Amino acid sequence: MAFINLKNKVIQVKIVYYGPGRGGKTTNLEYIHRRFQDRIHAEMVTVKTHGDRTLFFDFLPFDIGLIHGYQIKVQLYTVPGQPKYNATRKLVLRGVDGIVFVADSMAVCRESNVQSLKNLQENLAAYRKSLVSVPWVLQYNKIDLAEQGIPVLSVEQLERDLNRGFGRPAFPASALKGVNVAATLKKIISLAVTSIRDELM
Amino acid sequence: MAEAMPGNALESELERRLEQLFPEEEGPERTPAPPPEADRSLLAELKKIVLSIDWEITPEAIASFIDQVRLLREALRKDRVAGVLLNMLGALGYYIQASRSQVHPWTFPVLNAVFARLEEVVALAAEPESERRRRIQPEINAYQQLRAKIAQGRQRQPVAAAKAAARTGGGGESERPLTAELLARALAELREQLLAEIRSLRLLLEAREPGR
Repeated sequence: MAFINLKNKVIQVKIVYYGPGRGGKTTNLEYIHRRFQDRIHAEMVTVKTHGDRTLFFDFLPFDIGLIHGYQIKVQLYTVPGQPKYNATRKLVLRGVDGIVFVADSMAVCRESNVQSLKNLQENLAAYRKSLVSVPWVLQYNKIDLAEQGIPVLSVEQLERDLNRGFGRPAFPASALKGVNVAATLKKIISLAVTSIRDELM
Repeated sequence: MAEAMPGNALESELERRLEQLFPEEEGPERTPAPPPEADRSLLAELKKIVLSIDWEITPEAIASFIDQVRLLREALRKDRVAGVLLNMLGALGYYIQASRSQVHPWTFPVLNAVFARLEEVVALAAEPESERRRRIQPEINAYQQLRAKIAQGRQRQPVAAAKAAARTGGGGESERPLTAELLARALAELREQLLAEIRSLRLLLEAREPGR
């Protein structure tokens, strides 16, 4: 549940980018930070290992501004994708309001996508949440690699593997080039805020 | 919030605000355009020369290597990442030309690595510059290590040269008579080498501290 300060009329929305290692979660945040810096005036906090992998998490907070008298503050987080950091992933999911599942479209990553989604379900269950109760969207990243002759999974295949039975919004994307990064972000913020409103009603 | 925000009003206001913050009509991030055909052919020509140098080092091959690097630097002058690599290649070319058989054994592995990376970053011109800068860092490090090795070798050289001169009774090379043409050419090459070094150092500094 979002942090809501009724006295000061502030609502904090926590969005977590989840997915397999090297799938492009950090690249999403880096793109948002770089491309929209002049609009959101945010500082990105990131903790990386020597090999440029996310060690703990990335954090990008920014304000949307006043919506119907409420100050909406959004906090974007990524989780470390490597399997060994599950405790950190679980911790970052605490109090989550919306999730972007960043799948890697490369054909070789098919299994790791499925495993990561399963891991997300398990970790949400620890907070008595599920992929039915939490707003989430899918992003099929690295779709542009097909142009370089790298085998990628089709959107239909990715939908069958990851979105069957959920029917969530899904965005074929290239986080590196910025394709559909903003669209993904806008959708999840919109879903998360309306979900918070619905919970309060 | 619930009383103050009827469903549709909230959604439309939120949508409008998100559209202001994250406009999509600008399209994907602007990145340098991929190299035109002319640049690719210059690069292909340089590759041939690099391969021929790898096989046999002749004064003609080195001279055409230096010329080709100069042409490519001109063609890719807007590409600062490729510029760093081309300046390294240019400096290596002048070093090989000046040192001939005395070149440091690391020279050619470094030259080949720098050229391979140049091919890569030119092909990935659409990538963000920060990512391309990150790619070239290993070659910058290798080049700097080579420079340090060469500098160490040069510090030791005067002593060895003095000893050799004493043994042979002085006199260096200079079997060819010094003409005005030779002198002008040597000065032009020296000037070009110094300029390449300065450009290289400037770009290296920029690569390490972007935005400085």
